[in-house]
Amino acid sequence: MQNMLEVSGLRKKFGSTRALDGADMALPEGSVTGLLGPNASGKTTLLKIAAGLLHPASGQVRWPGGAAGGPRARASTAFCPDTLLFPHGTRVRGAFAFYRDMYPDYSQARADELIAMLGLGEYSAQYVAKLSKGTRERLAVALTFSRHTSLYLLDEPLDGIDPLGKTKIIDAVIALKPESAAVLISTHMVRDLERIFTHVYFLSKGKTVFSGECDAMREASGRTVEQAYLEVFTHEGSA
Amino acid sequence: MMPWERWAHELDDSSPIYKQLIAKITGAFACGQLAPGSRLPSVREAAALLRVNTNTIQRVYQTMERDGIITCRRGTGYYLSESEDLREGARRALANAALGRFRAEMRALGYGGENMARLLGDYLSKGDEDDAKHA
Repeated sequence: MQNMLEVSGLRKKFGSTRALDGADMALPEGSVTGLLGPNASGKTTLLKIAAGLLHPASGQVRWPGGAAGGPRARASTAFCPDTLLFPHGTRVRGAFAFYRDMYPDYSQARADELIAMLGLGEYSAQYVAKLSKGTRERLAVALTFSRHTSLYLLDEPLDGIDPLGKTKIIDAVIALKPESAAVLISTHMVRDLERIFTHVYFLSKGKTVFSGECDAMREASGRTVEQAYLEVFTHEGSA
Repeated sequence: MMPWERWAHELDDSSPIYKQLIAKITGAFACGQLAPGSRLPSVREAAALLRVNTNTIQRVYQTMERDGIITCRRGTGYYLSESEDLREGARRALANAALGRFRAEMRALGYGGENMARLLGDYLSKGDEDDAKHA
């Protein structure tokens, strides 16, 4: 089984702040991986590097058949940012049109299914900027998965979402992830997502401090992934 | 589809999800809740019903296929075995596991083999009414 993404020894500084300090990760084909860590642990920086939007100061990033940050790798990566950025005055239907024009892997059938699943139909004519936080997040997930590609990167997709919205997003990920594609989801809402994760990576102060396959972790410890997370980060003193 | 939706709420995140699902499907097969020969949901349908990732379902189906409890028919999906022997075997295995738990608990309470059997005999002879009360 090949990896859809491999990163090793990633380092990145912003001014004097060390955002990443030697992070490692591999995403096997078909996996859904949780990138877990407290605020400011480097999750977003890692995702942006994986998406080819930032360059690491050092370390390696490898996609299947694509150079780090190269156009081919970037084109096969669907990144769902924390905050959607569209020109002022963009409506929901305009956001989908933008994705359709921008990405050759956009699929109208997938978009229609996502619009139905995530309850976005009624917002079609509304301005993206005027949507509630929860609706905007559902829109971001719908846009991301309307592309049929091999690597999906989601930055805090459940942040500020009500329980029903969370369930809809989880259902959309399960239903629309292509079989061999890998999904990486950064979050600190471990409990909400642990059942859809196959693997998790714990990130602390820019370093990978723990990683594992979820059922193997449960088998070995008799604990939930969330309990393991709390244990690691309580001891780190940084939760 | 009924049991699958219920199972989604019964899963416990502190032990391997795939093992819990194997136990649930095997149990439903053994007691006839899922009819022999019936079609199971596709990998994606089952993942959606249970809200787990598709890899987990694939692992469950592959493991059960290896054990012969389910068969994969190319192009049409996964089916439970129609073998009465297999069903009886699964039922006996679950019964033995239940007896094992009973014996372990009774031993922990200090009852040896003979006393255990006597108590069990007394208990069973008290009949269904009492039984329901303790269930």
